[in-house]
Amino acid sequence: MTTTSRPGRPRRWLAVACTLVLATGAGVLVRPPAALAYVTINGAGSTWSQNAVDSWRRNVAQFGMTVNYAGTGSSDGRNQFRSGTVDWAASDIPYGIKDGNNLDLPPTQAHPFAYMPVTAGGTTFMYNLKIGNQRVTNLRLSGTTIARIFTGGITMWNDAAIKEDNPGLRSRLPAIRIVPVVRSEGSGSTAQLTQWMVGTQRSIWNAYCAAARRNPCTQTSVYPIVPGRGMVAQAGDLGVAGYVAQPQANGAIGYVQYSYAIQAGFPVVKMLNNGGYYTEPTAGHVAVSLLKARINQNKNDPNVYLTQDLSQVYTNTDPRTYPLSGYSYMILPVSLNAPMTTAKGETLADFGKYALCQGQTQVNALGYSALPINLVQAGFDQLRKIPGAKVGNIVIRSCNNPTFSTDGTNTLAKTDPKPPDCDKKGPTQCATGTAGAKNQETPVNNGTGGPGGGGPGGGNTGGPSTNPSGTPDPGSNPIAQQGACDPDTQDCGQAGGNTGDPNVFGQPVSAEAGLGGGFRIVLMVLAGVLLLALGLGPPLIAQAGARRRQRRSDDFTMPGGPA
Amino acid sequence: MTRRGSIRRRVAAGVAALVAATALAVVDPLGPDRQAEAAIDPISGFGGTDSAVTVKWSDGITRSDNQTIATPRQKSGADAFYEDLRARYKDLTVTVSQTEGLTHQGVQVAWTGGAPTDVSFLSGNYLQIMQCYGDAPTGPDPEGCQWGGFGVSSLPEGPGGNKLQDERRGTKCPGFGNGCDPAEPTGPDHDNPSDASQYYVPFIPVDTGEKIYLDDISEGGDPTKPTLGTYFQSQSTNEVPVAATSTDGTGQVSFEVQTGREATGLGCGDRDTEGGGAPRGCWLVIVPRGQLSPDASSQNRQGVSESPLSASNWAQRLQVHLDFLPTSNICPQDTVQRPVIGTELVANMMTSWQPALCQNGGAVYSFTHTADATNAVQLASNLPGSAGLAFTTKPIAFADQGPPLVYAPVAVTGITFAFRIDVRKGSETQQVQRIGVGPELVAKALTQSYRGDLPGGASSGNDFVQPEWMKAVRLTIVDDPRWKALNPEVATLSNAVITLAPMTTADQSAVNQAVWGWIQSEPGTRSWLGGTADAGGMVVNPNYQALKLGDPPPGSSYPRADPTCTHITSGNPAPPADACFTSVDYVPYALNLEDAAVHVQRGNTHGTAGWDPNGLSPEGNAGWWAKPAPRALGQRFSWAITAASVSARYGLPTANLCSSDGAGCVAPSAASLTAAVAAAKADSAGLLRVDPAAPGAGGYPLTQIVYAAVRTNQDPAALRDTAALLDYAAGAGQTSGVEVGQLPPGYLPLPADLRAKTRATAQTLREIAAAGPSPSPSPSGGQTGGGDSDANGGAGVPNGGASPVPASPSAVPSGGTVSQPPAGLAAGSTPDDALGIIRWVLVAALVAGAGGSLGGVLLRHLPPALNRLLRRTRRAN
Repeated sequence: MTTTSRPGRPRRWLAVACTLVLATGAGVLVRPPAALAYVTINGAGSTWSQNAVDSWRRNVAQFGMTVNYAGTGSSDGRNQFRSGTVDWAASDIPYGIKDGNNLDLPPTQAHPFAYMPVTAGGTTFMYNLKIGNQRVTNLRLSGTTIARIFTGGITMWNDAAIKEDNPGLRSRLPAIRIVPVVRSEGSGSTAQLTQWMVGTQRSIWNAYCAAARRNPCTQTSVYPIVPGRGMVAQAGDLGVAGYVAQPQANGAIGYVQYSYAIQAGFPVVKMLNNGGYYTEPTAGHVAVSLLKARINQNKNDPNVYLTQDLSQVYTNTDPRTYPLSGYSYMILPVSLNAPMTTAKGETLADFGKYALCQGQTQVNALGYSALPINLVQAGFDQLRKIPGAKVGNIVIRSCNNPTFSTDGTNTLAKTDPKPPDCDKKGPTQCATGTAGAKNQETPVNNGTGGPGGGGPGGGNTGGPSTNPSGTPDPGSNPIAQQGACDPDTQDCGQAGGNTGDPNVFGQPVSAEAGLGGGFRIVLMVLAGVLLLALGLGPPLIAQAGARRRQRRSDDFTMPGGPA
Repeated sequence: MTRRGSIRRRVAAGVAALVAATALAVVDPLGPDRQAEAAIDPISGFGGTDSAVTVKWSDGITRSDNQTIATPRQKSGADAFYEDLRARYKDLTVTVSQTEGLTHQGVQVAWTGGAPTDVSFLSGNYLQIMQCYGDAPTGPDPEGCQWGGFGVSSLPEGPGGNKLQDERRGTKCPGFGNGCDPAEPTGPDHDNPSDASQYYVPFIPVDTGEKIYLDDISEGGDPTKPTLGTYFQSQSTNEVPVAATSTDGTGQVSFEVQTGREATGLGCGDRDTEGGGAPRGCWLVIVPRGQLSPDASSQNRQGVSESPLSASNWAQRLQVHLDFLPTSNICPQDTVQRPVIGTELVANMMTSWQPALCQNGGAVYSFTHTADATNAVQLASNLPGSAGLAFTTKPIAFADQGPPLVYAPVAVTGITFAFRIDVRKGSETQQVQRIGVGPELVAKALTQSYRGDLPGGASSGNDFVQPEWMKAVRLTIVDDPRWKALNPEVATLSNAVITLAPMTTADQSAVNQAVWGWIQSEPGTRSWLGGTADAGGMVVNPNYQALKLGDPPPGSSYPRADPTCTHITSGNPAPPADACFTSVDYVPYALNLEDAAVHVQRGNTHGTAGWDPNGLSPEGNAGWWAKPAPRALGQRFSWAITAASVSARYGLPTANLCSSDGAGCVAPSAASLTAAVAAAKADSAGLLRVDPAAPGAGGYPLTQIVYAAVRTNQDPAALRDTAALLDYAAGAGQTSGVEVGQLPPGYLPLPADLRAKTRATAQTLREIAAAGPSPSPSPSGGQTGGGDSDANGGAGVPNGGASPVPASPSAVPSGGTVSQPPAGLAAGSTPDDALGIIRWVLVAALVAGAGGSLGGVLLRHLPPALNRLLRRTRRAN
């Protein structure tokens, strides 16, 4: 027993030694990068994006970047960029949307600019509704019902249209007033909502617009208020979410970025899509939805290049679609007009790259969705236009975003599960909560003998797949096949979902495929050589030592003889 | 035996040397090595250092040694101007809390012997403070100062809407009665190119020679000309336009020292290539302002009218040389980042640690502060990029079973009530440095129970109707006998026209829950929240009584539960008839703990409380809701519930926590947090928590112990990176200080027993990692070799041979023989761990490792063995 362990000991020591050398060597050889010529850059704008931007700002400090940002609203961000008081802006909408007397002219001459997609997510309807003392967390609404609520057409929570959307709550919806909460100042959230209304609920919107004496009746970033329709206006996403969350605000519903509902611990409306399902804007659902976003590719017109056309997102028939998905922009300077310098340009381009790459991996935790790779690549094209940008660094290869799979598609969208059956338009309704109230179920009476209590069922925990790549392999993995959806055909297989492979861990893709292979071989060979040396070395050495000593003992007789 | 032993001894010696090298690498020999100053309180960040410097105005202007005088105090400008200054400032003594080894940080600038500021008009008698570059030992030039960053559009306003003086320009003499500086222009380069009647002290960015005469683009027209905004602007500048002196002649500001990273135009701390590569020093410049302009004309109650940079004002400055640390190390960008999430309480700590953690091949971490509820979602998620570590003050609750977790303590900090309060003494003001609050007062302030906390309740001119339930009417918290007893020096407040409620966040969080827990720690306060009137007959707002905030469990948010919506009927145009402002408009929420503190620092924690007929609506029409301006100097009363690290970062004083009867007041300090941690009790999950009702003798009741909750079924690389973070948290990360990698102010260094727990958890994670790449660790051992081959170093240090490393129940025993390729080594070699050039460095290291570790042995022994082999081969032939 003991003899078998003895020879192992020196070898283990050597293994330790080698590893330590390896670790130490790596430590000594990998010098921290020389400090780059980063300078402070200042931005302002969107509150919709603020939670993400603030997180990125904090994290790029470790790279030596100082990025200031004031979440003063998209309109203010565009104004400040136009007047040159900030280096960059964040805005949910492009320049040029006319609100009442305000013209929002793009600063094409004084501050030439480019739009870069930066945060994707859903504009959600956070609500405060109780049945008795029970908070409702599973409310579902169709687009038309939402449009009628936000134009004063539906005023009571027990309206027949709401009952129809919520069969499980039908008999218990309370007879209390709906208080629609809108943004008081110019905001991108309002622009996103009204663009959707213009695109999908035009007659309802036109009638409301006319009542508000708005002409023309277009997308707007300032929500028109018609007196007497019970609307409440609040400043900022925080104001809307804060208002809706109050105990006395039972009956209120307001539109906010998803992350604000999560922070407030409140549910959001599951919205009916054209695939016949009610969904909430999870990261996966937004990613699926945005596969249908069309991007203006007219590179010759910076006023529209890379602006979004979401009309096909609104009407996407994939059952996982969240219709009010969209993305927000960074407005980037593409000239050296004051206050820009090349040093600022370099910093801004690297900050922008961080936001598009590693930054996207953080946003899911905040309630956004990572941008699909096509938008990231398009964003890279914009970053390269910034004077001072280190263009060579701006490549997907060094992006280190684990949501980009090897084939250039969005892993989130590929692995996103289909909604459970109880979210399908029909007589049953899920009991599970949404957004910040995920863990609070709402009892449902799914009257027609359907599975009471609903819930997403047990089918969505995913199989113990051994596929390590993160991309479901339809050929060999029936479980993955069942849960995965084809974004083009909207074929999501059978009922039940798949939250993905539990074995999947963020595996960033390197475009240097050859390098990876070669590298692995080199390492394997080296490790093999080392192991061989470790395994064979000590016995050989021992043997050699013994031989040598024996030889010596031949010459000089030792007392006691050779061992 | 002997020969084996000799080899072992030699290898052991080598290993020891390597361990030493590794240890050195971990403490970062490249970084600056400076002990934290003991006199700085690690929680408040206040206090002096060994390099504190005191200068006296009457002595003159000091040289860069901060001791000898470069220029004795002498006359400038008109006689009366100088005599006025001398009368006011002959006793002025300014102390800067730290002047050496600076980085991007706050320093305390405190003074005595100043002329009390008249806050009714702000017509002088205050200090202006700025940072300047200048390599001459005699001091900087005014052209090298970061001043004027507020531009024309965002210039702060004083009382009566007067713009405070924050400009680089002024009027040439004769000044047409509004003041001028007879010494300006000092030369043709001080002529304002765009206004012949003005001088302009241009800004010359360091190492450029370029002279900038434009504040911002709006006045220029030519967009290609650089402006001050190119180098600094209102968001980024650290200039202090008005540092007011209290009635007693003292004053204090927390000044944000900026390095070249924050202030490019100054380049402080950047490598000075001409100066031999040492970090470039800079200056703190203080210009005292009197009642007269340099031409002896009166300031005429319109704020000071000449720039502090004009020659006569500049000549009366004080200056202190600032010595910087070399620019700190940064992290490589193009690597995979290890995401961690959790409570904002650790945000400043992580920001400080991140650039240190990545040194010497360490992982790069991203920290995202998230809603508490997100912790469970992320830890249970298998989506790419999900975090495997969440910082939390309470056990993570999963809806279902959830993943296996381990907890390790990483930080001790506190929740603070940060404030900015000053009181009026005639036309002068006194800045308050100390207040006390108790549970009952805070409960009252958080429940809109004072009249002034109801929308519009503080001011007249609106349709506010006092509610029936308000029996004993108190306008503000200051009118409460409990407040007066605790804070006799803040007994009255002039012009209370807006809410005095503390600013809070809108989220649901464990931090908020801790505050409610403290409020509930007093039975009397609990019954007050339940509807019992206080001694003076004041009752809780019934809208809050209905929420049962006095009943356990403590709430986790701060409601604005009063439904009052107040109309304004005056003004032309008046607001729309059905428009009104609500509790959320009037007592707005902060985005997060830091946002709350920033509002306090600006003296503005209130929201909409009025109507401005001259305002412009978002649609471009006349008339819009108005937020009252920040409360003026001498009337400031802002406070917020925030974290100790945040209040320290912004140099804000924090309230002592007392019992409601005024006994046992405790300030957040190293001593009081230590006492509280000692009294902390473990909850059902084994996490220590301070019971606010029993925080120990002298313990701070809102002491928070933050844990890292780590999911154990992660891939080995993630576990090793997490272990490295925990090792840092248990070691180098616990040295208090403001440098990169240190524990920033606001955090108490972890007590030794907590550190031991954290180290043990790190070890457990490494053992799980070594057990194999399987995400669901098997409890049975023996499938692979031990944890010896850990690539992060440190973990695999053998403890003397064959004795197995103590293994946790879930980990694989690591003492087995190496009978197959070490799993750790193999895992450490996959491309997942390191990308880009680091891979090839790894290859180089492997080669070097082979040479280095075996070389010594082989050199001694292999040649004869080879000879023997060769001989044998020859013989065979």
